[in-house]
Amino acid sequence: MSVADRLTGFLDTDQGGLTLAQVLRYIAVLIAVLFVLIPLYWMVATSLKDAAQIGVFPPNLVPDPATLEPYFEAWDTGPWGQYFINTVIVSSGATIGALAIATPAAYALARFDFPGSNPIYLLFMGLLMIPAQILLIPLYNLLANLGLVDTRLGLILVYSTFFLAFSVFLLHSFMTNLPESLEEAARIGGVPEWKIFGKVILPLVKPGLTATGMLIFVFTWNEFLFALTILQSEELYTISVGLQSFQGIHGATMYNQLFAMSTLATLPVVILFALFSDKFIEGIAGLEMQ
Amino acid sequence: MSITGLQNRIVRRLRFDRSEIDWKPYLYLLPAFVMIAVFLAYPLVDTFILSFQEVVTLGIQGEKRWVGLANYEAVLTDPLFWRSAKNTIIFSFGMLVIPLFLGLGLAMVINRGIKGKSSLRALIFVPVVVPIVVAGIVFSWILSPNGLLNWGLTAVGLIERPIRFLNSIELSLPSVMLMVVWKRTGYYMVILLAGLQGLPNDVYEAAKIMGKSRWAMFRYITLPLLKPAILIVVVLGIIDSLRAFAHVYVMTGGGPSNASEILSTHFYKVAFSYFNFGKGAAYGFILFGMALVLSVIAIKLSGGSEI
Amino acid sequence: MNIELNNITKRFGDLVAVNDLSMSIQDGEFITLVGPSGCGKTTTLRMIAGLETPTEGTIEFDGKDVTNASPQERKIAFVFQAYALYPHMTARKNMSFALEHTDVPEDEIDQRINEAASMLGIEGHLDKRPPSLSGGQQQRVALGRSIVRDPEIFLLDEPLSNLDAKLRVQMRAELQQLHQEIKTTTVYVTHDQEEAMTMSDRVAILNDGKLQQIDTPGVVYSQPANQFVAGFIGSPSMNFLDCQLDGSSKTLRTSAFSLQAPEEASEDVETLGVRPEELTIAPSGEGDLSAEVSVFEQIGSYNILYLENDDLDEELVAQVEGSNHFDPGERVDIQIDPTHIHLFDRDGDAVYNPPLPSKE
Repeated sequence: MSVADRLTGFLDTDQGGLTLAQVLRYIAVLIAVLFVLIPLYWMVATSLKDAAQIGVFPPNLVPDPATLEPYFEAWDTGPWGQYFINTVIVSSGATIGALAIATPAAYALARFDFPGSNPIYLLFMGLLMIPAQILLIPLYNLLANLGLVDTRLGLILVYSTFFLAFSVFLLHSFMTNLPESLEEAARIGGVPEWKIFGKVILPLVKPGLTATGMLIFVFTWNEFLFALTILQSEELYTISVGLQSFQGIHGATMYNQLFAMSTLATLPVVILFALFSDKFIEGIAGLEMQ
Repeated sequence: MSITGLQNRIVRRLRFDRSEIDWKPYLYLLPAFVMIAVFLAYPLVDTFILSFQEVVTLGIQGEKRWVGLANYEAVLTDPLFWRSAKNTIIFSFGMLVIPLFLGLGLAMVINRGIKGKSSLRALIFVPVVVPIVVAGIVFSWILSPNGLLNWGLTAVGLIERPIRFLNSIELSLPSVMLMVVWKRTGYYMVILLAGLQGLPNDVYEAAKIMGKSRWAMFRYITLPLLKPAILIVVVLGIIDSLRAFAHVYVMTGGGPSNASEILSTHFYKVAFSYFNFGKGAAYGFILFGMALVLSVIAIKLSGGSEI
Repeated sequence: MNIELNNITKRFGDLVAVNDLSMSIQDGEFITLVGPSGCGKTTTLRMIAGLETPTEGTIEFDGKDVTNASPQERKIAFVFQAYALYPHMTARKNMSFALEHTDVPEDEIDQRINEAASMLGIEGHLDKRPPSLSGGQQQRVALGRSIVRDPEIFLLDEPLSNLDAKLRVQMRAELQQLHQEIKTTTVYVTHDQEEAMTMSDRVAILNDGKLQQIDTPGVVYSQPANQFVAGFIGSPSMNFLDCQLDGSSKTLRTSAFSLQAPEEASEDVETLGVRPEELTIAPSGEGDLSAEVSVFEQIGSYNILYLENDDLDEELVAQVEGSNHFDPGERVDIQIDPTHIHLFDRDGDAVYNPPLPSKE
């Protein structure tokens, strides 16, 4: 394309194309973006203010002075490092657990035609629709019997089960998209069953595993109700429970510190999302499109 | 059929019965079944039994006594249950209706071609991944008497005195809903955008050639084609409205004086703040029943839409 | 290895995919199953492979019943339409994958791969993964993967349909050459009658799950068993005209012309079939009928005429030599050699076919 072509092309879209409808469209998008960003900005801005700026009205729109002090102060008031470690352990454990159990199940449902496959698939779909909190009492009861109340393992097991149906659903859609002839080729060749699953299907469904795993990780990272109920000792709190308890204890007085920790709690999932946003969105959209 | 053909068939039948059942898929499903049996099915049965019992001594492991349907009666005669149910319906507007419309609008705007489509889509999705507790805390702060919103409203002269949003009987639930709309819009947008992008372009071109108006295209092409996606979104939105807990719990705790109480926070209080496990279990089953009925309706609707 | 299909029927729910099919395939033979889509050819192939089990009937390999044997017990190789190569493995790994768990020693696996690769001309591509290979190369890797297993039977399911026209012709020749080298029994499925005709020892034509005819390419072309085969094999397709036999004068009458009927013709003749190349242009006034050229298609080595006659409902297609040119609207005289016609009865079964051309 010549420079002149490019220039006229550019002018075309900029002058001829900018109709009233288009202007309205840009305004709508702008409002949406502001609506999304203002709370996030306000969180970060507040986390950079010193205590003197917190109760001020009208508030400083820009921290003046901006300081990292709240981060250090907050860090010393509670076992935040421990909260983060707990959250990482629980989220990773739940992700691995759910994927390890869901992947073979999804494989069976996606790639085999066997008596009962349809009802079982519907069962998983039904599980997806249970409002999880109704299981709070019996699960608490069960974990108490197993001696798993107030343990990270207990929470990991609960999360793994709750995200099981979700993962089966998502992985199922990724697996049904693979051509059947791949396994048939392997079966004709007499390749043993475990190898077909492990060496043919698993590597091919890796993008699906990544997308599903990331969704589970983020959802469990953010989960609150079950973490609140199952974990009781402070040293086992996940970051969400830690934040909520900090807010309960210190209330409105230390919003800068609260937001410093909130920012830290949000950062990992937002970074994860930023790195893999396409996969993420593909996963979400894929689940709903079933 | 010839005699030999018949024989063959009978022989194969017998063989089928003995050897042709393929155990592999069941083996692959076994771990999932074990998990579900232990952590879903057993607790469900357990809670069903508990819903007809009263815990006599303190603690969930305590002694129990049969009370028949008393727990269910207790829930259904609890005025707070009905208030929470009403609030849940209002809440579902924040969880579903408003963000669905906003999401659909945004999806259509973005789909129409705007520079930086995929980064815009990602940006608007960001609130979805923000931890719900963080979102609740941030919005509590923004909505506080000396918060950002009150400042903004005063600055443009809409109000003279700061409003105590979260402490107001009328405004506490809408305040929570504002945060929920913030968190859900991107979610619906992404799903509907995927749906829109899956629509065949040539249908639109054909309509354009026939001189159909934009509204006609939306009404008669986009909406019907998006219907399955919208239906699924609606189902999940309803169930998420029954599921949502931290949204309310973090911002208002259901207050002031239960003005923002929804079913799931009320349920939590019954079971874990008042330690009324029997009534809690009955409450849980009532919620389960509601979810089940809504799911069945939804599945019926979405099944009907495919034909 | 011989393959014997005995009264095979395959139903999927209410759908009868294959209906009472019997055929025997000789050791070392290259046989093609051909027919329109949905005729049951791929289902038949998959039943031979063991990927499907017949609802009724039995399959024997060398006299041994394998009807319920698993695919791997059958010592077959299958080349899929879309190749089914493992995209995450190199070409070499694709070829070795099925051998790794067997007792074939590693150095022999390597040797077999190298032999197959040089036979197929893909030595230079063994360390590449399928997505970076061209369609033809992928096809060759898929073939290589089958060859290294040293199967007793080769099964190929439309292996050339994903290739462009030129490559298809080339691969056709290569496949034939390959079969001559390894002489393994081969069953080949295609919907392309030209592929079937050019490659096979025998062609089996299927329609609606039923075997229509199985014979050498020469016989199915010159002596089609029924009207379906006659119409399916050959391009452009055979012309079909309604006709009646006048028994007393032994004359065939169509709405536009009459022909001397062959001896074998019987009263129940309903349809006259003439191949386009048997419609010859005659000098003016000497033909059996005169017609108007509606379309003239120039192919090159031969040309095609679409002809119309006011008394005929059907359009006629004639194939003429490349040196003959006509314009639309031109009138031509057509001659039909009465010994080179085909006659079909009410059920479409052949009543008369011309004798096979003798070899010179």
